[in-house]
Amino acid sequence: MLSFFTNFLILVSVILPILYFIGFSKFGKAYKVFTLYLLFIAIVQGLLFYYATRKIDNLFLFSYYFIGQFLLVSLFYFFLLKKKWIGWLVGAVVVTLIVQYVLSPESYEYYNGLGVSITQTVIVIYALFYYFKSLSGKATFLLVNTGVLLYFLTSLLFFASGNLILSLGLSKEIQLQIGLINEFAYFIFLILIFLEWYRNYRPKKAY
Amino acid sequence: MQYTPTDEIQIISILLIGISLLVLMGIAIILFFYFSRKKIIKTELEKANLQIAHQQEVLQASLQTQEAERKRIAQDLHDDISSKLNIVSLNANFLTDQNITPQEAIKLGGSIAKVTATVLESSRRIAHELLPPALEKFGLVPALEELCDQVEECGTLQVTSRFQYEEGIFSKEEGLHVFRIVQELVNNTLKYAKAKTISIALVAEKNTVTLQYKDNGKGFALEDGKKVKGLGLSGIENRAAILNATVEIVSAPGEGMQVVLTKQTN
Repeated sequence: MLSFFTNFLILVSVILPILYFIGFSKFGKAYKVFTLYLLFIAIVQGLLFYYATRKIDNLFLFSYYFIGQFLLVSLFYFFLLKKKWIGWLVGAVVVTLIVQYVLSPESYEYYNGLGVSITQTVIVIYALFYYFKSLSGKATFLLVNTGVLLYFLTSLLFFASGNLILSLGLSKEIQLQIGLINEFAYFIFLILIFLEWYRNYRPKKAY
Repeated sequence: MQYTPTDEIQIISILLIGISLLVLMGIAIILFFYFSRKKIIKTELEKANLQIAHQQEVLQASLQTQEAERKRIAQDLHDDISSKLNIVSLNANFLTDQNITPQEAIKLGGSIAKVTATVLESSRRIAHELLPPALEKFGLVPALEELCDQVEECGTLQVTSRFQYEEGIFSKEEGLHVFRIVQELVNNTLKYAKAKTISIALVAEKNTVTLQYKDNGKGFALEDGKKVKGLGLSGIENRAAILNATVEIVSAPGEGMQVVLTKQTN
């Protein structure tokens, strides 16, 4: 059974893309990509929920999750930063991942600590660059950027040590508690995404 | 590999310490950027405020000049035209009187003709000062040449000029600004400088037009010159700003004055 907190996070993950869809056509490309990212996360969360309730192993979803997330977040930052090197970086990371999966196909079924670490690091780098860019003038999505930096930096170590945690054979209780730290960071990320929407993109009454 | 419970606790605590360090680092980075952003926005705001203050100053200065100019025109009209037209009107009234002798009538007519001629001359001069017809009809160089001639006619100054300029480089409005700048400079020289020579050059080259003005008068310290509103230096700078040109004023007590105005053209 999933904890109450996990269920709550899944619910929020499903609500956020609905909120962002309200202004889908109004706020430009970066906004659209971000909405798609939220939709993607909601679908993954939904599937996780489905598999968890059926007690089916959901670890294989993880590869789709972090690769899809990486591509969408990269596209999002591509529209914010408007820099060509993002394309090259994404290409390099994707090639690395393909090489990894070709050399060790079993990492597809298991937890891919290296892959997730690389993609998360790259996303943190985007966030830092965007912060730097925001210094010189107006910038949108600053709250989301704060969330991205905080969540992806914090969860970097958590995901990187995933195999270690799994192989330790810890008691269920301790595993859940470690997971709770990640969930709390994710919760803050979701709150910041909601605040971004509420402050800058919610439909305003026309007077 | 088998882990003992103490190993587990150690590994978990290292993990937790690592995660907390990352959290702290993330927060530090965010705070750093937040405060840098705030500071940068603050300095930019201050800069904008300064600019607004400067614009207000310019506006005020131009309003003052406008008022002074109106006052001068009113004075000219009153002194040179209204008062003399009064005489004409008085004399014309006498003429309508049937008791006057033919001699008296001739005398009055002569006086009217004379005064009317001076009134005409005055009104022509006033209009001329407001907007020199040469500028409108023939362009900047003829207007400047005329200005030089007028200054030389006064007799105290020797003017050398060099014009290497084709009409049309400056638009009509810009030409007027250039003319006003020269006019203002000449006025300053006449009023304050006690100079013997003036040299004016307007030279158009490939991508620049340069106006150079020089006198050998008594000069002034630049800081003082900027404070004295009468010198009209701020007016010159404002016009240069409208022209999108750079202006450089060089002067020191006893060393005359030199003004160089440079505008980039395409």
